[in-house]
Amino acid sequence: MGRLRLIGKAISIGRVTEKYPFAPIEVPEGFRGKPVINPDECIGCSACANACPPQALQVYDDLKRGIRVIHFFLGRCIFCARCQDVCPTDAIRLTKEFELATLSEEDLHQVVELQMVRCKECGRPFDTFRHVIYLAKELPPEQRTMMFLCPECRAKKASKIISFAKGGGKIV
Amino acid sequence: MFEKSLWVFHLNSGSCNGCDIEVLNIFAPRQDVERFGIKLVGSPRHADAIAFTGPITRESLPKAVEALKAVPEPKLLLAIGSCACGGGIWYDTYAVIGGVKEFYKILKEEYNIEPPTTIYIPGCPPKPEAIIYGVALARKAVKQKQKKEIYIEELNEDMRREIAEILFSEAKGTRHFLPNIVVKTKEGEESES
Ligand code: SF4
Ligand code: SF4
Ligand code: SF4
Repeated sequence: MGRLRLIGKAISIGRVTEKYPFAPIEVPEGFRGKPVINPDECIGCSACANACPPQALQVYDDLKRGIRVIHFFLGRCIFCARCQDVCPTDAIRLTKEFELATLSEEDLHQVVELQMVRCKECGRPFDTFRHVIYLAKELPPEQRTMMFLCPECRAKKASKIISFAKGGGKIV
Repeated sequence: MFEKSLWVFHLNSGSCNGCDIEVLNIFAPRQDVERFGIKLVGSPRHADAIAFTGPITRESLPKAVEALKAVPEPKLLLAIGSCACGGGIWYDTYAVIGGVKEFYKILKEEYNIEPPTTIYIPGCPPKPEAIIYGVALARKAVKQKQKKEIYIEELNEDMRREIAEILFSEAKGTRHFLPNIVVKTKEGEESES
């Protein structure tokens, strides 16, 4: 009797097995899939690299070529969406893509290379053009004069100006 | 090579159990991969493929090597989860090897074993469908979607100068910019000093 009831129940519920991979499936709203960097929007601020718990996103400077590299390794990403939360320009978004299997580890990388500004005094690259322009929009115009100096040269110049002012116009 | 029934041995090398639950999920009625002839087996000697989860702890390394040795050729390794693919959140912990790439290095150097064919299935944990997609990829039933992407920003010298000029012209137009200070008097006139 119990078995008959079970058969009746199974027939009334019907088929539950999905047709995947022969038919696509819907992912729910808010599903956290593969993060993708939009290379046109990214300013190279490295906020995402600071926030990423497993260092799947790494930002490093290639000083010889004057290029900042934003390197994303999908094979380490834990899909936590912290990068999406901190990105100031919404350049990195989590898509709904989940079909990420690959035959080689090489295919799991995304690399964005951004040009860097060289310091006016010492010639060392210190920040990306896009980040400098982004900052310039935030700063009042009078503070933009030292924007093209690297932090060290900026500190030197600022201290020179202060000592100049303290000495009543003479360099002390 | 792996078009017919694939018998899978599930090897946990120190995973957090998230991926293991997903591996078991694909054998449950909703995904039911037994309809493709995929079956979990109890011994690596019966298996064609290893469902490999976890970042390989130091303690589990010799056992993982033994299990891999026991699988007959040709063999397939499904690296399931971010831990197996690249170490995941544990990639630089002292107690783990950090993903199959490091594992293969050790296999080659210390045991002189060639690495098997590997399917990387990232996700933490990957959706059960993502694992099925990985298996379908091994059978060449689907196309690989994920590709390496490289973007290099183009910026020539003229553009650099242009940007610099824009920034400085804005700064020059204000009263704070020395040496052209514009002082507003009480009457509303402007005089330059
Ligand atoms: S989702 Fe999390 S782990 Fe993945 S890149 Fe973003 S911050 Fe890193
Ligand atoms: S936080 Fe956004 S803008 Fe900044 S480096 Fe990351 S992706 Fe680029
Ligand atoms: S990939 Fe994520 S869910 Fe899978 S074992 Fe590692 S930490 Fe756990």
